[in-house]
Amino acid sequence: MGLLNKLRVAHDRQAATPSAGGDKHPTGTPVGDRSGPAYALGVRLSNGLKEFLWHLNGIGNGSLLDLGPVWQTTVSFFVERGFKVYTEDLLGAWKEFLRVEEDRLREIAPGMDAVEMTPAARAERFLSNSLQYSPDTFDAVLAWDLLDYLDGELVPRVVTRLTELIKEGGVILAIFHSRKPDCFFRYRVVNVQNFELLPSPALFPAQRIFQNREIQNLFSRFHSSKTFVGRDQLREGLFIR
Amino acid sequence: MWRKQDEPKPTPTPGDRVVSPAPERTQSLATSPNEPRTAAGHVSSAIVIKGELTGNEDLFIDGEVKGTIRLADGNLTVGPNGRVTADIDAREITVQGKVTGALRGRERVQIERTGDAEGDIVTRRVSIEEGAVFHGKIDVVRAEEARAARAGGMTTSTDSKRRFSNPAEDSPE
Repeated sequence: MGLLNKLRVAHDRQAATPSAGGDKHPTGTPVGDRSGPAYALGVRLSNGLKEFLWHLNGIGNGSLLDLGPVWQTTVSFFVERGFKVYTEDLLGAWKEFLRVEEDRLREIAPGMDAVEMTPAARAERFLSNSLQYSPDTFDAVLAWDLLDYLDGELVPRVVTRLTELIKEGGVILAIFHSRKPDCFFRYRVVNVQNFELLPSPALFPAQRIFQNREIQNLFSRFHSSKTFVGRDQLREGLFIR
Repeated sequence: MWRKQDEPKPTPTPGDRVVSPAPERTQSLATSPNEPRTAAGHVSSAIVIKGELTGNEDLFIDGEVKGTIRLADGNLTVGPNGRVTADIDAREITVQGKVTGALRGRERVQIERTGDAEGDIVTRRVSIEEGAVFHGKIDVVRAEEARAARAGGMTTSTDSKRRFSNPAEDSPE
Protein backbone atom coordinates (compact mmCIF):
# COMPACT_ATOMS: atom_id res chain seq x y z
CA MET A 1 0.00 0.00 0.00
CA GLY A 2 1.41 3.35 -0.99
CA LEU A 3 1.94 6.16 1.46
CA LEU A 4 -0.95 8.16 0.06
CA ASN A 5 -3.29 5.20 0.43
CA LYS A 6 -2.07 4.64 3.98
CA LEU A 7 -2.76 8.24 4.83
CA ARG A 8 -6.19 7.99 3.25
CA VAL A 9 -7.08 4.85 5.16
CA ALA A 10 -5.87 6.42 8.41
CA HIS A 11 -7.99 9.47 7.73
CA ASP A 12 -10.99 7.36 6.82
CA ARG A 13 -10.62 5.28 9.94
CA GLN A 14 -10.56 8.41 12.02
CA ALA A 15 -13.65 9.69 10.25
CA ALA A 16 -15.44 6.45 10.90
CA THR A 17 -14.54 6.17 14.56
CA PRO A 18 -17.72 5.09 16.31
CA SER A 19 -19.71 7.70 18.11
CA ALA A 20 -22.48 7.30 20.61
CA GLY A 21 -24.98 9.05 18.44
CA GLY A 22 -24.17 7.11 15.31
CA ASP A 23 -26.88 6.16 12.93
CA LYS A 24 -27.85 2.67 13.92
CA HIS A 25 -30.40 0.25 12.77
CA PRO A 26 -33.06 -0.51 15.38
CA THR A 27 -31.53 -3.95 15.88
CA GLY A 28 -28.29 -2.31 16.76
CA THR A 29 -26.66 -3.63 13.65
CA PRO A 30 -24.72 -1.03 11.74
CA VAL A 31 -24.81 -2.21 8.21
CA GLY A 32 -23.40 -0.35 5.33
CA ASP A 33 -23.38 3.28 4.56
CA ARG A 34 -26.26 5.16 6.08
CA SER A 35 -24.55 8.39 6.74
CA GLY A 36 -22.76 9.12 3.51
CA PRO A 37 -19.16 9.31 2.54
CA ALA A 38 -17.70 8.80 6.04
CA TYR A 39 -17.51 5.08 5.24
CA ALA A 40 -14.46 4.70 3.13
CA LEU A 41 -13.46 1.55 1.48
CA GLY A 42 -10.24 -0.34 1.96
CA VAL A 43 -9.73 -3.14 -0.50
CA ARG A 44 -7.41 -5.89 0.61
CA LEU A 45 -5.70 -8.52 -1.44
CA SER A 46 -6.56 -11.78 0.26
CA ASN A 47 -4.73 -15.03 -0.26
CA GLY A 48 -7.16 -16.64 2.16
CA LEU A 49 -10.09 -15.63 -0.01
CA LYS A 50 -8.36 -16.90 -3.14
CA GLU A 51 -7.73 -20.25 -1.50
CA PHE A 52 -11.26 -20.30 -0.09
CA LEU A 53 -12.73 -19.79 -3.56
CA TRP A 54 -10.40 -22.33 -5.05
CA HIS A 55 -11.93 -24.91 -2.71
CA LEU A 56 -15.36 -23.97 -3.99
CA ASN A 57 -14.42 -24.52 -7.61
CA GLY A 58 -16.58 -27.18 -9.14
CA ILE A 59 -19.39 -26.78 -6.66
CA GLY A 60 -22.12 -25.71 -9.03
CA ASN A 61 -24.95 -25.19 -6.62
CA GLY A 62 -23.44 -24.78 -3.24
CA SER A 63 -24.64 -23.05 -0.12
CA LEU A 64 -22.71 -20.29 1.54
CA LEU A 65 -23.29 -18.74 4.93
CA ASP A 66 -22.09 -15.19 5.46
CA LEU A 67 -21.92 -14.38 9.16
CA GLY A 68 -21.66 -10.65 8.57
CA PRO A 69 -24.31 -8.19 7.46
CA VAL A 70 -25.77 -8.58 4.02
CA TRP A 71 -24.00 -6.85 1.13
CA GLN A 72 -25.12 -6.77 -2.45
CA THR A 73 -21.59 -7.32 -3.74
CA THR A 74 -21.06 -10.48 -1.72
CA VAL A 75 -24.50 -11.81 -2.56
CA SER A 76 -24.08 -11.08 -6.27
CA PHE A 77 -20.61 -12.58 -6.33
CA PHE A 78 -21.76 -15.95 -5.06
CA VAL A 79 -25.21 -15.96 -6.64
CA GLU A 80 -23.63 -15.42 -10.07
CA ARG A 81 -21.62 -18.54 -9.41
CA GLY A 82 -24.66 -20.60 -8.66
CA PHE A 83 -24.59 -20.43 -4.87
CA LYS A 84 -27.46 -20.04 -2.48
CA VAL A 85 -26.43 -17.35 -0.05
CA TYR A 86 -27.49 -17.32 3.57
CA THR A 87 -26.74 -14.31 5.70
CA GLU A 88 -26.88 -14.12 9.45
CA ASP A 89 -25.20 -11.19 11.13
CA LEU A 90 -24.20 -13.10 14.22
CA LEU A 91 -22.45 -10.23 15.95
CA GLY A 92 -25.44 -7.96 15.39
CA ALA A 93 -27.72 -10.68 16.72
CA TRP A 94 -25.48 -11.14 19.78
CA LYS A 95 -25.62 -7.41 20.46
CA GLU A 96 -29.40 -7.44 20.23
CA PHE A 97 -29.58 -10.55 22.40
CA LEU A 98 -27.51 -8.88 25.12
CA ARG A 99 -29.75 -5.84 25.03
CA VAL A 100 -32.80 -8.01 25.59
CA GLU A 101 -30.98 -9.93 28.33
CA GLU A 102 -30.14 -6.70 30.13
CA ASP A 103 -33.76 -5.67 30.03
CA ARG A 104 -34.72 -9.05 31.38
CA LEU A 105 -32.11 -8.81 34.12
CA ARG A 106 -33.55 -5.54 35.34
CA GLU A 107 -36.90 -7.19 35.82
CA ILE A 108 -35.56 -10.16 37.75
CA ALA A 109 -35.56 -9.82 41.50
CA PRO A 110 -32.21 -10.31 43.28
CA GLY A 111 -31.42 -13.98 43.86
CA MET A 112 -33.75 -15.27 41.20
CA ASP A 113 -32.43 -17.16 38.22
CA ALA A 114 -28.86 -16.52 39.27
CA VAL A 115 -27.58 -19.68 37.60
CA GLU A 116 -29.37 -18.91 34.41
CA MET A 117 -27.50 -15.66 34.04
CA THR A 118 -24.04 -17.21 33.88
CA PRO A 119 -22.12 -16.52 30.67
CA ALA A 120 -22.38 -20.20 29.73
CA ALA A 121 -26.15 -20.25 30.14
CA ARG A 122 -26.41 -17.01 28.23
CA ALA A 123 -24.37 -18.44 25.39
CA GLU A 124 -26.59 -21.53 25.29
CA ARG A 125 -29.70 -19.37 25.21
CA PHE A 126 -28.32 -17.28 22.39
CA LEU A 127 -27.49 -20.32 20.30
CA SER A 128 -30.92 -21.81 20.87
CA ASN A 129 -32.19 -19.11 18.51
CA SER A 130 -29.19 -18.56 16.29
CA LEU A 131 -27.42 -20.59 13.62
CA GLN A 132 -30.49 -22.73 13.31
CA TYR A 133 -29.86 -24.79 10.20
CA SER A 134 -29.85 -28.48 9.41
CA PRO A 135 -26.56 -30.32 9.81
CA ASP A 136 -24.35 -30.42 6.71
CA THR A 137 -26.12 -27.48 5.10
CA PHE A 138 -23.18 -25.38 3.99
CA ASP A 139 -20.28 -25.79 1.62
CA ALA A 140 -18.70 -22.59 2.81
CA VAL A 141 -18.85 -20.14 5.69
CA LEU A 142 -17.51 -16.60 5.79
CA ALA A 143 -16.89 -16.01 9.48
CA TRP A 144 -14.75 -12.90 9.01
CA ASP A 145 -13.34 -11.67 12.35
CA LEU A 146 -16.39 -12.67 14.33
CA LEU A 147 -14.51 -14.86 16.81
CA ASP A 148 -12.33 -11.97 17.97
CA TYR A 149 -15.42 -10.15 19.20
CA LEU A 150 -17.65 -12.82 20.66
CA ASP A 151 -17.90 -13.66 24.33
CA GLY A 152 -15.39 -16.25 25.56
CA GLU A 153 -18.11 -18.75 26.43
CA LEU A 154 -19.69 -18.34 23.05
CA VAL A 155 -16.65 -18.83 20.82
CA PRO A 156 -16.17 -22.61 21.24
CA ARG A 157 -19.93 -23.18 21.04
CA VAL A 158 -20.17 -21.23 17.79
CA VAL A 159 -17.27 -23.16 16.28
CA THR A 160 -18.85 -26.44 17.38
CA ARG A 161 -22.15 -25.41 15.81
CA LEU A 162 -20.43 -24.40 12.58
CA THR A 163 -18.63 -27.74 12.53
CA GLU A 164 -22.03 -29.43 12.54
CA LEU A 165 -23.50 -27.16 9.90
CA ILE A 166 -20.71 -27.42 7.39
CA LYS A 167 -20.48 -30.34 5.01
CA GLU A 168 -17.60 -32.76 4.86
CA GLY A 169 -15.01 -30.99 2.71
CA GLY A 170 -16.64 -27.63 3.35
CA VAL A 171 -14.53 -24.64 4.19
CA ILE A 172 -14.57 -21.73 6.65
CA LEU A 173 -12.74 -18.48 6.12
CA ALA A 174 -12.03 -16.62 9.34
CA ILE A 175 -9.90 -13.60 10.16
CA PHE A 176 -7.94 -13.05 13.33
CA HIS A 177 -6.28 -9.85 14.41
CA SER A 178 -2.67 -10.09 15.52
CA ARG A 179 -3.04 -7.03 17.71
CA LYS A 180 -6.00 -5.11 19.06
CA PRO A 181 -7.68 -3.54 16.06
CA ASP A 182 -8.00 0.22 16.22
CA CYS A 183 -11.21 0.13 14.27
CA PHE A 184 -14.22 -2.11 13.86
CA PHE A 185 -14.66 -3.43 10.36
CA ARG A 186 -17.27 -5.15 8.33
CA TYR A 187 -16.22 -7.14 5.29
CA ARG A 188 -17.51 -7.85 1.84
CA VAL A 189 -16.21 -9.76 -1.13
CA VAL A 190 -15.19 -7.63 -4.09
CA ASN A 191 -13.78 -10.18 -6.53
CA VAL A 192 -11.90 -13.45 -6.61
CA GLN A 193 -8.91 -12.11 -4.74
CA ASN A 194 -10.05 -9.04 -2.85
CA PHE A 195 -12.34 -8.23 -0.02
CA GLU A 196 -13.21 -4.87 1.30
CA LEU A 197 -12.87 -3.62 4.86
CA LEU A 198 -15.54 -1.17 5.82
CA PRO A 199 -14.95 0.83 8.99
CA SER A 200 -18.17 0.72 10.96
CA PRO A 201 -19.48 1.80 14.36
CA ALA A 202 -18.11 -0.72 16.84
CA LEU A 203 -20.55 -3.26 18.19
CA PHE A 204 -18.04 -4.57 20.72
CA PRO A 205 -14.41 -4.05 21.55
CA ALA A 206 -12.15 -6.91 20.51
CA GLN A 207 -12.33 -9.50 23.27
CA ARG A 208 -9.02 -11.22 22.74
CA ILE A 209 -6.06 -11.88 20.48
CA PHE A 210 -5.97 -15.54 19.59
CA GLN A 211 -2.67 -17.37 19.71
CA ASN A 212 -2.05 -19.80 16.88
CA ARG A 213 -2.35 -22.73 19.26
CA GLU A 214 -5.74 -21.54 20.45
CA ILE A 215 -6.96 -21.29 16.88
CA GLN A 216 -5.76 -24.79 16.14
CA ASN A 217 -7.52 -26.10 19.22
CA LEU A 218 -10.76 -24.37 18.30
CA PHE A 219 -10.79 -25.97 14.88
CA SER A 220 -9.30 -29.28 15.95
CA ARG A 221 -12.21 -31.21 14.47
CA PHE A 222 -11.44 -29.85 11.04
CA HIS A 223 -9.50 -31.89 8.56
CA SER A 224 -6.95 -29.21 7.79
CA SER A 225 -6.19 -25.60 8.35
CA LYS A 226 -4.08 -22.94 6.71
CA THR A 227 -3.15 -19.50 7.90
CA PHE A 228 -2.14 -16.52 5.80
CA VAL A 229 -0.51 -13.66 7.61
CA GLY A 230 -0.72 -10.26 6.03
CA ARG A 231 1.46 -7.24 6.53
CA ASP A 232 -1.52 -5.47 8.04
CA GLN A 233 -1.55 -7.78 11.07
CA LEU A 234 -4.52 -9.76 9.85
CA ARG A 235 -4.30 -13.53 9.91
CA GLU A 236 -6.62 -15.30 7.53
CA GLY A 237 -7.49 -18.81 8.54
CA LEU A 238 -8.87 -21.42 6.20
CA PHE A 239 -10.39 -24.46 7.84
CA ILE A 240 -11.49 -27.45 5.85
CA ARG A 241 -13.78 -29.97 7.43
CA MET B 1 -48.55 27.26 17.37
CA TRP B 2 -47.49 23.68 17.95
CA ARG B 3 -51.00 22.27 17.99
CA LYS B 4 -51.58 19.39 15.69
CA GLN B 5 -54.65 20.87 13.97
CA ASP B 6 -52.48 23.64 12.61
CA GLU B 7 -50.50 21.19 10.55
CA PRO B 8 -51.48 21.07 6.87
CA LYS B 9 -53.42 18.01 5.95
CA PRO B 10 -52.07 15.87 3.14
CA THR B 11 -54.05 16.05 -0.05
CA PRO B 12 -55.70 12.94 -1.37
CA THR B 13 -54.33 11.19 -4.39
CA PRO B 14 -57.14 10.29 -6.81
CA GLY B 15 -55.72 6.90 -7.68
CA ASP B 16 -55.35 5.72 -4.10
CA ARG B 17 -57.45 2.91 -2.83
CA VAL B 18 -57.39 1.38 0.59
CA VAL B 19 -57.28 -2.32 1.12
CA SER B 20 -59.09 -2.06 4.40
CA PRO B 21 -62.59 -1.79 5.83
CA ALA B 22 -64.52 1.13 4.39
CA PRO B 23 -64.59 3.33 7.51
CA GLU B 24 -60.82 3.51 7.54
CA ARG B 25 -60.51 4.53 3.93
CA THR B 26 -59.54 8.05 4.84
CA GLN B 27 -56.31 6.66 6.25
CA SER B 28 -55.00 6.42 2.72
CA LEU B 29 -54.67 10.18 2.66
CA ALA B 30 -51.56 9.88 4.80
CA THR B 31 -49.35 9.11 1.87
CA SER B 32 -45.71 8.31 2.29
CA PRO B 33 -43.11 10.16 0.27
CA ASN B 34 -41.75 6.77 -0.79
CA GLU B 35 -45.06 5.54 -2.06
CA PRO B 36 -44.94 4.54 -5.69
CA ARG B 37 -47.39 6.49 -7.80
CA THR B 38 -48.49 3.39 -9.59
CA ALA B 39 -49.63 1.60 -6.42
CA ALA B 40 -53.22 0.62 -6.96
CA GLY B 41 -53.89 -0.62 -3.46
CA HIS B 42 -52.76 1.09 -0.30
CA VAL B 43 -52.69 -0.18 3.25
CA SER B 44 -51.82 2.88 5.26
CA SER B 45 -49.92 3.05 8.50
CA ALA B 46 -52.83 2.92 10.94
CA ILE B 47 -54.34 -0.20 9.45
CA VAL B 48 -53.92 -3.77 10.64
CA ILE B 49 -54.96 -6.69 8.45
CA LYS B 50 -54.93 -10.33 9.45
CA GLY B 51 -55.64 -12.97 6.85
CA GLU B 52 -55.05 -13.56 3.18
CA LEU B 53 -54.54 -10.78 0.66
CA THR B 54 -54.87 -11.72 -2.99
CA GLY B 55 -55.12 -9.65 -6.11
CA ASN B 56 -53.79 -8.69 -9.50
CA GLU B 57 -52.83 -5.10 -8.88
CA ASP B 58 -49.88 -3.41 -7.28
CA LEU B 59 -50.11 -2.97 -3.54
CA PHE B 60 -48.41 -0.59 -1.14
CA ILE B 61 -48.41 -1.58 2.52
CA ASP B 62 -47.45 0.98 5.11
CA GLY B 63 -49.46 -0.64 7.88
CA GLU B 64 -49.40 -4.04 9.53
CA VAL B 65 -50.31 -7.26 7.74
CA LYS B 66 -50.22 -10.78 9.12
CA GLY B 67 -51.10 -13.77 6.98
CA THR B 68 -50.34 -14.40 3.34
CA ILE B 69 -50.07 -12.08 0.36
CA ARG B 70 -50.45 -13.28 -3.21
CA LEU B 71 -50.42 -10.82 -6.08
CA ALA B 72 -50.68 -12.84 -9.26
CA ASP B 73 -49.33 -10.13 -11.53
CA GLY B 74 -48.83 -7.24 -9.17
CA ASN B 75 -45.91 -5.66 -7.40
CA LEU B 76 -45.78 -5.30 -3.65
CA THR B 77 -44.07 -2.50 -1.79
CA VAL B 78 -43.76 -2.61 1.97
CA GLY B 79 -43.37 1.03 2.94
CA PRO B 80 -41.05 2.41 5.58
CA ASN B 81 -43.71 2.07 8.27
CA GLY B 82 -44.90 -1.30 7.01
CA ARG B 83 -44.71 -4.35 9.26
CA VAL B 84 -45.54 -7.53 7.43
CA THR B 85 -45.48 -11.03 8.84
CA ALA B 86 -46.51 -13.11 5.88
CA ASP B 87 -45.40 -15.37 3.10
CA ILE B 88 -45.43 -13.17 0.03
CA ASP B 89 -45.79 -14.11 -3.61
CA ALA B 90 -45.70 -11.23 -6.07
CA ARG B 91 -44.10 -10.18 -9.31
CA GLU B 92 -41.76 -7.71 -7.68
CA ILE B 93 -41.33 -7.14 -3.97
CA THR B 94 -39.78 -4.00 -2.55
CA VAL B 95 -39.03 -3.83 1.16
CA GLN B 96 -38.63 -0.47 2.84
CA GLY B 97 -40.04 -1.52 6.20
CA LYS B 98 -39.97 -4.77 8.14
CA VAL B 99 -40.94 -8.13 6.67
CA THR B 100 -40.85 -11.57 8.23
CA GLY B 101 -41.71 -14.50 6.00
CA ALA B 102 -40.84 -16.20 2.77
CA LEU B 103 -40.49 -13.78 -0.14
CA ARG B 104 -41.13 -15.12 -3.60
CA GLY B 105 -40.65 -12.37 -6.14
CA ARG B 106 -41.10 -13.83 -9.56
CA GLU B 107 -39.12 -11.06 -11.21
CA ARG B 108 -37.28 -9.26 -8.45
CA VAL B 109 -36.88 -8.70 -4.74
CA GLN B 110 -35.41 -5.44 -3.56
CA ILE B 111 -34.52 -4.57 0.02
CA GLU B 112 -33.95 -0.88 0.36
CA ARG B 113 -31.70 0.83 2.90
CA THR B 114 -34.47 1.16 5.48
CA GLY B 115 -35.65 -2.40 4.87
CA ASP B 116 -35.37 -5.26 7.32
CA ALA B 117 -36.29 -8.70 6.03
CA GLU B 118 -36.15 -12.06 7.73
CA GLY B 119 -36.94 -15.18 5.77
CA ASP B 120 -36.02 -16.94 2.59
CA ILE B 121 -35.97 -15.15 -0.74
CA VAL B 122 -36.62 -16.95 -4.01
CA THR B 123 -36.46 -14.75 -7.06
CA ARG B 124 -34.78 -14.12 -10.39
CA ARG B 125 -33.05 -10.90 -9.40
CA VAL B 126 -32.22 -9.59 -5.98
CA SER B 127 -31.16 -6.11 -5.02
CA ILE B 128 -29.99 -5.14 -1.56
CA GLU B 129 -29.11 -1.59 -0.72
CA GLU B 130 -26.41 -0.68 1.75
CA GLY B 131 -27.99 -0.26 5.14
CA ALA B 132 -30.53 -3.00 4.58
CA VAL B 133 -30.84 -5.78 7.12
CA PHE B 134 -31.45 -9.34 5.98
CA HIS B 135 -31.43 -12.65 7.77
CA GLY B 136 -32.18 -15.71 5.71
CA LYS B 137 -31.45 -17.46 2.46
CA ILE B 138 -31.23 -15.95 -1.01
CA ASP B 139 -31.98 -18.36 -3.81
CA VAL B 140 -31.76 -16.81 -7.24
CA VAL B 141 -33.37 -19.01 -9.85
CA ARG B 142 -32.70 -18.71 -13.56
CA ALA B 143 -35.49 -17.88 -15.98
CA GLU B 144 -35.86 -21.46 -17.15
CA GLU B 145 -36.04 -22.69 -13.58
CA ALA B 146 -38.70 -20.15 -12.79
CA ARG B 147 -40.71 -21.25 -15.82
CA ALA B 148 -40.34 -24.89 -14.85
CA ALA B 149 -41.43 -24.13 -11.33
CA ARG B 150 -44.46 -22.22 -12.59
CA ALA B 151 -45.36 -25.09 -14.88
CA GLY B 152 -45.28 -27.40 -11.91
CA GLY B 153 -42.13 -29.22 -12.91
CA MET B 154 -39.23 -29.94 -10.67
CA THR B 155 -36.81 -27.13 -10.22
CA THR B 156 -33.52 -28.17 -11.66
CA SER B 157 -30.40 -26.33 -10.95
CA THR B 158 -28.24 -25.06 -13.72
CA ASP B 159 -24.52 -25.22 -13.56
CA SER B 160 -23.02 -21.94 -12.68
CA LYS B 161 -21.57 -20.22 -15.70
CA ARG B 162 -18.88 -18.44 -13.81
CA ARG B 163 -16.32 -20.19 -11.74
CA PHE B 164 -13.88 -19.19 -9.11
CA SER B 165 -10.35 -18.79 -10.28
CA ASN B 166 -7.61 -21.09 -9.17
CA PRO B 167 -5.20 -19.31 -6.88
CA ALA B 168 -2.39 -21.18 -8.55
CA GLU B 169 -3.12 -19.22 -11.70
CA ASP B 170 -2.74 -15.95 -9.83
CA SER B 171 0.30 -16.54 -7.80
CA PRO B 172 -0.06 -15.05 -4.32
CA GLU B 173 2.30 -12.43 -3.12
